[in-house]
Amino acid sequence: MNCDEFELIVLALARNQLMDARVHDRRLAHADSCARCAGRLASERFLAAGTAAVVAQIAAEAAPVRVEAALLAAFHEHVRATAARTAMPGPIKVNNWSFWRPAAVAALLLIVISTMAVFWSSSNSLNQGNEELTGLYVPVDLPVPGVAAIEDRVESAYPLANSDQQDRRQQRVSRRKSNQAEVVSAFYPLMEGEDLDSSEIAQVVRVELPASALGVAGVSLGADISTVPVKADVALGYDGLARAVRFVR
Amino acid sequence: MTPTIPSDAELVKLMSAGDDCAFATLYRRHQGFVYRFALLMSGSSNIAEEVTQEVFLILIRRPHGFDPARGPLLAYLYGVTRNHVLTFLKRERPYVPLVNESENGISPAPFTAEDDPFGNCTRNEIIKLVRQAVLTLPLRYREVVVLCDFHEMSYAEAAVVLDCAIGTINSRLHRGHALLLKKLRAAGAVDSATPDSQVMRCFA
Repeated sequence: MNCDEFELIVLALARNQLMDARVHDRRLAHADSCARCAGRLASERFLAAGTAAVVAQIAAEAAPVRVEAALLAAFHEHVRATAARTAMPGPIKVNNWSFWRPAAVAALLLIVISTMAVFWSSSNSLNQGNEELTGLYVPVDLPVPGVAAIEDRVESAYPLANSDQQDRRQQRVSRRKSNQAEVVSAFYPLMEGEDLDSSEIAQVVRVELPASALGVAGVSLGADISTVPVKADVALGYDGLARAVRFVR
Repeated sequence: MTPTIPSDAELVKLMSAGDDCAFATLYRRHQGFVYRFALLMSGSSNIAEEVTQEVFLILIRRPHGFDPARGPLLAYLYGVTRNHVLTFLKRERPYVPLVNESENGISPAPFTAEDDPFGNCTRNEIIKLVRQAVLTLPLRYREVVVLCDFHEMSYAEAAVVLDCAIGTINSRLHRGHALLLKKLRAAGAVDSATPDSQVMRCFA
């Protein structure tokens, strides 16, 4: 037994911890023969007694009752808040990348699909429109070549500035396509001496009017059909006045 | 048939489910240890009270912070308490004239008893001297001394609380005791003729 070995067990000796009786006796025997280790043991015993006294003194000390009351109130508040959170969906965590990643991918896919759909439909409709326009203006029954020129000018009087106009034009085209069976006459000027080729036509309006009204254009019909409705296309100038009319059958 | 006492882990589960009785049981079971640990570490009943409240608030808000696989609930609570006490002490340091924490152990302590150099102190005086001496220890020694001496924790349990090796606990405890004895000797509570651990050893 030496001082180093004694040092290993001095705390247990000072605290009177349970240990093998022979080891205990040997350590105490060393302390009897070594003044330094005896002093060391005495110091540790003093310290152990001091700490035990402190422990005994503060053994009854505890947090005030108001702490428990405050904590129980906080606990109830927390339980209520937790219940409310589970009842209602919580706020979106904007910093959570795992939330935003699928949303970003979905948005990207949506943008790509939308762009492709827009390009596809616009190119398709333009091609279709061009085909329909070229097909429409093949002179079916146009005795006067100049009238076709007027109609071309009328149709292209407004450029295809935006998609609304384009849509309206496509509707007109499709409507006319459905009426391809109808036969139209040439445009007749409504004002004497009017040069239809040089006139600025703003709009062509399809109207239905009684046959008796055709007298204005110098067309006289029999009394028996004066009440029969007649379809006609009226070409209007930019001033809103009718420039020419053609008849539709 | 005696009623079974629920374990801490069971009570934490019940508490997580909103059982206030479980929380009250846990609080009454452990608040004394938490409070006294904070009291011995800080020397202030106000800080101990605040720390106790903070520790159990954390248990309320984050009960899953306690993992039964890593150790008992009390060890977890001691760890949280220790962190809060250190935070409080750092915060209070500019305003509180703390006693000297030098490692040489020779501090101009106010409890020096020059007229009673041989430790002829009463029990209450010794208690007071020991508590004051503990408060003058550097924190790394103080926490080990408080846990192992005043709370009678084993080295292994203290190592879990302080998240360090058992050997570290052992060496810090010995160093802490040596510092305490120096301070108490300086205060006259211990016979100055008692040798400390640094003097000659016999190798018989």
